[in-house]
Amino acid sequence: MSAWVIGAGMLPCGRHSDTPLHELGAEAARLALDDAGLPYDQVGEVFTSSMLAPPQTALRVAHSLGRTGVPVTAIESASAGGLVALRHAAWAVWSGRCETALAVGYEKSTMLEPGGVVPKPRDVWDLFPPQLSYAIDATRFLYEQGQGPELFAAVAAKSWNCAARNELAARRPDHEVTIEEVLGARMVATPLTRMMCHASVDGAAAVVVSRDAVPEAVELLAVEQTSLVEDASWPRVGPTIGPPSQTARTARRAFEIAGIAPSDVGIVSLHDMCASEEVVTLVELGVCDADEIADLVFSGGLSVKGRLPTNVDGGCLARGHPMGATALAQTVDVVRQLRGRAAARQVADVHTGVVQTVGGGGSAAVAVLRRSDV
Amino acid sequence: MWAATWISGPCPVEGFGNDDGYAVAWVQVDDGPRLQALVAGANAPAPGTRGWVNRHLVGDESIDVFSARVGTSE
Repeated sequence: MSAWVIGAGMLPCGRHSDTPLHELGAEAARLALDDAGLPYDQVGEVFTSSMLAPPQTALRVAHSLGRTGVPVTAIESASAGGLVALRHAAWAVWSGRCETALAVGYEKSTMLEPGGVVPKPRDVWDLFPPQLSYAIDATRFLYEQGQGPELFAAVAAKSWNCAARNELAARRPDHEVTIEEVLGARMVATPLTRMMCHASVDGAAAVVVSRDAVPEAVELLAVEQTSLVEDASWPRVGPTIGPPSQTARTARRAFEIAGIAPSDVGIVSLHDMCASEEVVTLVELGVCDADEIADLVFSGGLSVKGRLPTNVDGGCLARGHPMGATALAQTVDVVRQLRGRAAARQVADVHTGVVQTVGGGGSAAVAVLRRSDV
Repeated sequence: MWAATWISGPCPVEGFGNDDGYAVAWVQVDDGPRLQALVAGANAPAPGTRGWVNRHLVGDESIDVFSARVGTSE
């Protein structure tokens, strides 16, 4: 059985201080349902994602949409939660349990929703900044590739400049961001400056998955999810994600199920808590070799008109990172790209896209989507 | 030492780094799993720097601390 994305919607990333969290989720869901041309009473199941939401927020989101009595399931999987919710929505359809399912992600991270959950530190390493592991991995990557921090600065500049043309992005520069500007920003953890690190924002995004294709539907070929795999090279301390090898393993499974090769991918949206993660993840996804990544980056290969457009919505760096909603925001953008509706950021002739995410604690997920007319 | 980073700001554990920041490293000890360790001193050593790891008590917990042997690398 097939599963099709027939609707996608998201709110602008940024500050939504005056809107209750459940209303953010409900509003994104309404946008996705409007996009699908579907009333809420046609939805058979709802899956939600948030990391910081107070208990029972999922039900408040659903009840804001209508009291239809459908099952509502809340998911917490840190930054990966959006794709985990999408996977559950897809399987609700693939299994025949329902004809249409809704995946909704929402987060308020600039100001915690009353009753919201912030994990307390459990040990000493939980007191250290989450950029730590990315920065160490990035340092080694540069060392092994014989590159300097300009590599990550070029990735960040690309993402900031893409966000300038994305009306839903939180960080929209009014000028062309340069490598020098990124390198000159305040240092967070060498080699990563502030402009190479994500923006914590509020946001919400939603996707409608259906058994039946409609015009402009995008086929969901695979959504694979893994938890931590054994990898002695990746210290398991503090609020870290899983190792890059986990993304490789998850992606291999997703590509196999989708029946496509990494070389078929025309657009990538990946989790970029830091700019270095974009580079490392492209290699782990198998869409680029480590020894060609620098040429790809410096030649503009990751931009809208490049060979492998990646995070052309600005990514977590500049679109923003509303954690539990992030992976669904990534999905929304890839769906728009595959439909040819990304306006000034439209990638030419793109038919297959990949969405990748990882979450603190060791969750990873990869989705493969394809245009319906391929 | 596999790689290290210099983090801007005060170290959450007293007695490490300086007013500007502190360093954390991933250390490969023989064939064991890679360790995350605070770095003794006021810089982030380059990948390949050799040294040793000690345990350091922080309250009831202990963490690894890497000390670089000066002038050594892979």
